[in-house]
Amino acid sequence: MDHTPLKELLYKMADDQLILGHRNSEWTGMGPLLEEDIAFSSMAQDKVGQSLALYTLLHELGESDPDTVAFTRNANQFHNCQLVELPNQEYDFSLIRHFLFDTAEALRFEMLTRSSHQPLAQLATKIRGELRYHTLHANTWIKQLGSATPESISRLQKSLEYALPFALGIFETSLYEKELIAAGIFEGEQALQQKWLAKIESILSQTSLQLPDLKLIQPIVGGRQGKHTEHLQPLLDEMSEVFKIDPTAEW
Amino acid sequence: MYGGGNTFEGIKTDSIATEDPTKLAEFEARIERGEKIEPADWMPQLYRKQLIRMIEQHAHSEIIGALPEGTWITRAPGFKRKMSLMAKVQDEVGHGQLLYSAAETLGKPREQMIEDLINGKSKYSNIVNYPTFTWADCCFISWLVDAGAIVNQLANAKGSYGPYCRALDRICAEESFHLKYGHHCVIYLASGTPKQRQMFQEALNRWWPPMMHFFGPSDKISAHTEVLMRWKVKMGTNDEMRNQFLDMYVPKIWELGFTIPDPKLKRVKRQVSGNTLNLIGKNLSA
Amino acid sequence: MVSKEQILIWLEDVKDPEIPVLSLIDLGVITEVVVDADQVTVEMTPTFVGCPAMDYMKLEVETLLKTKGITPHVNISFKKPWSSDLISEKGKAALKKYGLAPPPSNKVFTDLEILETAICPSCDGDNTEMKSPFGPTLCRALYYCHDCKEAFEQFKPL
Repeated sequence: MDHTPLKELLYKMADDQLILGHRNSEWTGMGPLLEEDIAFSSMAQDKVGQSLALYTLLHELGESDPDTVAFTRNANQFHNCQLVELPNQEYDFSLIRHFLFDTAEALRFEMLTRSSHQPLAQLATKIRGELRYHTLHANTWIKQLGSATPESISRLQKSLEYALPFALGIFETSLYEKELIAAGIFEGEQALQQKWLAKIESILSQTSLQLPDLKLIQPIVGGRQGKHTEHLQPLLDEMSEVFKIDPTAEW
Repeated sequence: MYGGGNTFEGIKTDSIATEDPTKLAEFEARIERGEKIEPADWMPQLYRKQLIRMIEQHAHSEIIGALPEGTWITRAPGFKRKMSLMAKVQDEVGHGQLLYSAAETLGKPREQMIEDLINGKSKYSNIVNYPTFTWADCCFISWLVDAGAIVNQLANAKGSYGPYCRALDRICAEESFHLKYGHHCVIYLASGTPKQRQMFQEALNRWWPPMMHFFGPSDKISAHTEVLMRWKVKMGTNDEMRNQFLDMYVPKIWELGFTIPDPKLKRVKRQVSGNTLNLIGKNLSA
Repeated sequence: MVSKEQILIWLEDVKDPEIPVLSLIDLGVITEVVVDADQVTVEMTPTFVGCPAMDYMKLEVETLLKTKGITPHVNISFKKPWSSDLISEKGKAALKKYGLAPPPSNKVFTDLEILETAICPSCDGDNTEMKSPFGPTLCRALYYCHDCKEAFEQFKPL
């Protein structure tokens, strides 16, 4: 059986989790509140752990071991969407990204619990439960700060408008969309985007934030094909700094 | 992690004279019997003040201490190390949170404590101000600074203030897991390539002096110290803690083939509770 | 050959590395023990996918069984995923005694309201408030008891 479509799906999910986990972990020790510091650290830990589990599935399909895959590829070999690689910037942007991405991610894993690829369905069942805490966290803060003060509302609104074109890039059409759907592995990016939109609309409608008309927004795509912003390679260089001192050494 | 070094300054003991003698006697009798003091119980002002100071400093050390190690999360070599380090640093921040809560039970709000930290009014353990130049520095902290902190925290967990002791019990259980992680990291460096060994030796050379200072200066037994020890706020002298650390960890460092940058350090015979033991120290009498 | 029951009794001695009062059996991360001819197989699953203690737990299981003359196969998988409902009643009692609130049933977790309060492990009261769904470790959330005026942690429902 040709696993190429499945592998492509697993790579983009694993890379998303790893790179956003990396960004989340940059908040460790820097959070605006101790509780937020811990929340972003926890989510980082979950995401990096989940990426490892996904790379392990790839390894079982014949790809290199997770450490080699994660720590030795260059930016053009990564399939994450560009949204996750953007620098953290201010807390408002981190929070908006967390909300937009994690909503999509939670729905994606929810859909994958029904995947015909059994190991993926089992893993998705597990991860779905963990992600409830991530979306609970995102929704709580968006609802709170999205209706709090003129400053918090305008900051979030600005970040939302900046992040949306990148967020639409999460759903970049895969080369193997048809094959994945036909094989019952994944219901497809379009189905996911529709569910996502309904979800974020329902949360944003409870706040003073305005969701712009998505039809007027040009999605920023390319990440899934290895096209990235200038921010990804420095992130990867940092991630592999120690590993590359001696890749044959055991650390 | 870093509940180390009794860095707090003394408060004048004069205030004890103004306390109600009956209540004070009952308070001291309770501590003598090994009872824990709880937030709603009567306590002398000096006791309250000194505990706030101590727990607050401990909490600050935990959250500032997350920084030198935290900068290595994004650079940790491989998934295994990365996930353990993330979990560990997050634990430390969580410990800060638990400790602030314990200090709050004595009446000082967390916001006030954080404000005092930011404007430089509160102290914290100095060791967390040192930079980590390489991965090996991070490993030194995870193993040995944590080990030093455990020595202090295990002692303080036997103290008299209930909320602090309960927080410390929890913290010590988690720290012992961190210690295993840190020890593993160092074992891998020790048994790795020459470059890896060199990295750790250099880290050891850099960190040994601050590690010794971590336990605080040699104690001058003042009236103040004597009161705090009677009230089970201070559970041992700085030198006792330092020696305990040396006894436990110097042999382990030697075992891995590293050189400690203190040529006077050697195995000596020392009397502990009437027994002659082979311990580590500076053989000053010889 | 030893029985499965004997192995389960031995494994009682392997504790959660961060919660020394809770055995891995009571935590529910050992999902199956199979004794087949000369081979003992232990199936384990992590509480959270990113749990950094999994390797240590596996090693502890192997080390303990080796002292009994058994070299087990220890597999880690998500075939039977962990849920907080797998914590035994004995385990829940041990958590409470240790000062950690045991998790409510994860069946009620679909309703997020349930997370807003927890039963304080110290006074058994519910005059409590969630401070953060993320505690010091992945598996715990942070609460505050208004009666005890103390923070406490709850093992999260999952």
